[in-house]
Amino acid sequence: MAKGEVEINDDFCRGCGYCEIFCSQGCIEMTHKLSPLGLPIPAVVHPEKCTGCGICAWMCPHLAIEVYKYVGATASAD
Amino acid sequence: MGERFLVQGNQAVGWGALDADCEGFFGYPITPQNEIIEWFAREFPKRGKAFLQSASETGAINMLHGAAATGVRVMTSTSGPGWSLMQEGMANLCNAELPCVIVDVQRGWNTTRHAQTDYTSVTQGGGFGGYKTIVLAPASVQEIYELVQLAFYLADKYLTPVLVVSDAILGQMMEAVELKRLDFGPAPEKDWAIRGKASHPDGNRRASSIAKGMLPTAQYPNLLSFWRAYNDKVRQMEENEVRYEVHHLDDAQLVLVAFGYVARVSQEALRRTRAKGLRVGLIRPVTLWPFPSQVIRGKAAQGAKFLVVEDSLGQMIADVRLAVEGRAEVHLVSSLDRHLPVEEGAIYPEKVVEKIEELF
Amino acid sequence: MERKWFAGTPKLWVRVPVPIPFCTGCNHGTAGKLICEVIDEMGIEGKAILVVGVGCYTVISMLVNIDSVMVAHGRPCDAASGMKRILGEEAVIITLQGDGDALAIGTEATVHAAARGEKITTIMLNNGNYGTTGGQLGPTTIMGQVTTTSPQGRNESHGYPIPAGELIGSLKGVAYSARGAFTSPVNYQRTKRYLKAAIQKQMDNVGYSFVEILSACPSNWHLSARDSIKFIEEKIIPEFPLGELKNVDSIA
Repeated sequence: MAKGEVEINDDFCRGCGYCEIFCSQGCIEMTHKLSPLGLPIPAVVHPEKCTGCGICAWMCPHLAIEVYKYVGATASAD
Repeated sequence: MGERFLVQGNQAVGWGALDADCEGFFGYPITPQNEIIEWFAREFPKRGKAFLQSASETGAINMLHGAAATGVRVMTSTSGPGWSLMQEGMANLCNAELPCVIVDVQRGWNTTRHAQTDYTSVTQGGGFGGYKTIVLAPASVQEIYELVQLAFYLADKYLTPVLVVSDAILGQMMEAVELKRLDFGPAPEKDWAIRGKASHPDGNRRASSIAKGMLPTAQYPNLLSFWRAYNDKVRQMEENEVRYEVHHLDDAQLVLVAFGYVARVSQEALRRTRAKGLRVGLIRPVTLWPFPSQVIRGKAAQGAKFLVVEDSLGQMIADVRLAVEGRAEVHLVSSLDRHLPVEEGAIYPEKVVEKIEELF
Repeated sequence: MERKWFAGTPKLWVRVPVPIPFCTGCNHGTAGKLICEVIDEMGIEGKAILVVGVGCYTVISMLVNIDSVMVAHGRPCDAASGMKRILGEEAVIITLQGDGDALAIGTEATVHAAARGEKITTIMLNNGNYGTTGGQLGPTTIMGQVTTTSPQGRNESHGYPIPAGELIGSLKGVAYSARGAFTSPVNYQRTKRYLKAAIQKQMDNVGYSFVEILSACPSNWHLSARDSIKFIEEKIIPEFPLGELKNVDSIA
């Protein structure tokens, strides 16, 4: 069950790959998709493993990543 | 009359800065102005004002840059070789539009004694970019004391560095000075001063940059917007800040043009030749930039001849030639006319009188 | 599920609608974020002033929401000294410079500010070359490193690299000197602690503080971003070890 969520801004990403290297859970992988800048962009391929540790956001030099932590669960299922 | 006492020219810089509420001095030793830095070293710390000796003149001008950015009145002083090291700093101060005062106590190229060999460098600007600064040239210790105060006022008025240019003779001489704090009215608001975001009433940050115009800002969205504004500023300084003194100009057939210590010498030559009935006059520029071209042009139109007297190989003469617009003869008494062919040699009245009589 | 923002663009970062102009994998962006986070966490947003020299990092002065001054190449430590002498404890002055800016053209300014024990903090981004101008040799380029002005690789004719942190740390006026890097999340957090410690020395009025940060420069090293991290780990850190090099509570 994911404890956090990662949002990647494709417009700012420059395809350095630090998020893939440093992710503590192996959630992120570089893809062959190209960003508007023409660089390979990552994707969160295992969002369920995300612990919201924030490491990918720390290591991203291009401010392309925002990390959110989930705050508890809602009481009722919808 | 205010208190009068015997002051050395160099030390008068300090007394002038004090009466202008200067808050900081950043400088480096160099002959012939070490009395200036030593004055500030003694008098500023005990008054709670900043004094810092740098490790070179390049250091000093950059310390000045940072201090000027905080919005207080600050200054440095140097001589020719140190002035040269400050050129990048001058260009940057002008681009960043920071007010401050720089004193150049001229020495003769690579000698340690007097001369007027920095004229072109101080008026044209030795750094890059084509900036202009107001240049004030005192000819007495009293005037050094007063022009330093004026310099701080003009620096704040136009957001520019202002130069006060003396020489080793003026710097070392001692004359009676009447201490009077000049009143130029209230100092302008400095909303641009960099003191930390909390110091700004609107809570927004402020930035100071030597690359104004290059990186877009709200005030200057592109390069030409800044260059145009800067150009307007230069025109305003040219129109409003010309200062000069004249002696016996109205009926003069031969007009001496001289500044600094050489103006004092020329005044004596004027007195002697007038006594002989020769119609000689004198224009003494107090601002080397903006240069008093208009008054020179006027006399040229009346048919007068000009004798430029300067202790260099001829630098101010170029500005006089420009001003007469080809209408008048312009002659020169230069360093080659010094009374002795050594460092200690100077331009003496006898030589100027000789040249004046030749031209009549 | 309700979510709360945890990490990413810092509060003090000036958001612009275009990608910031750093090359792929350049650690300058990381450093810029670090500065924002540290200033925010230390609560000095209102009194911090960033003084930058000339380099790729100059643009950071426009991207951190605090007062800033851009001065001549090599001269932030002079300008910061002038400012601190006027403003005193009213301001926390941080210089941000490159290796060439701080230790080639700026050697006089940096060494003398350190020697005087100026109460300012210097961050030196060390990527072993002059990045903005295309990758020329710098004072911290390591032996064998190929740059555009040492195409044969740095050798005795070019001389030897200067260990900035150690050199500055050897001066009596220096209260704190450390070297960090962004080669791992652990190092990121350590570097953040070094920067906080350095700024605290200024705020406690102890003396000059200096943080050198090894910074990846994939473009001018002609390596991929991940190989640049490896290059720092395998080649640069052995020459310039990480850690606190000096930390004193009083310089007297």
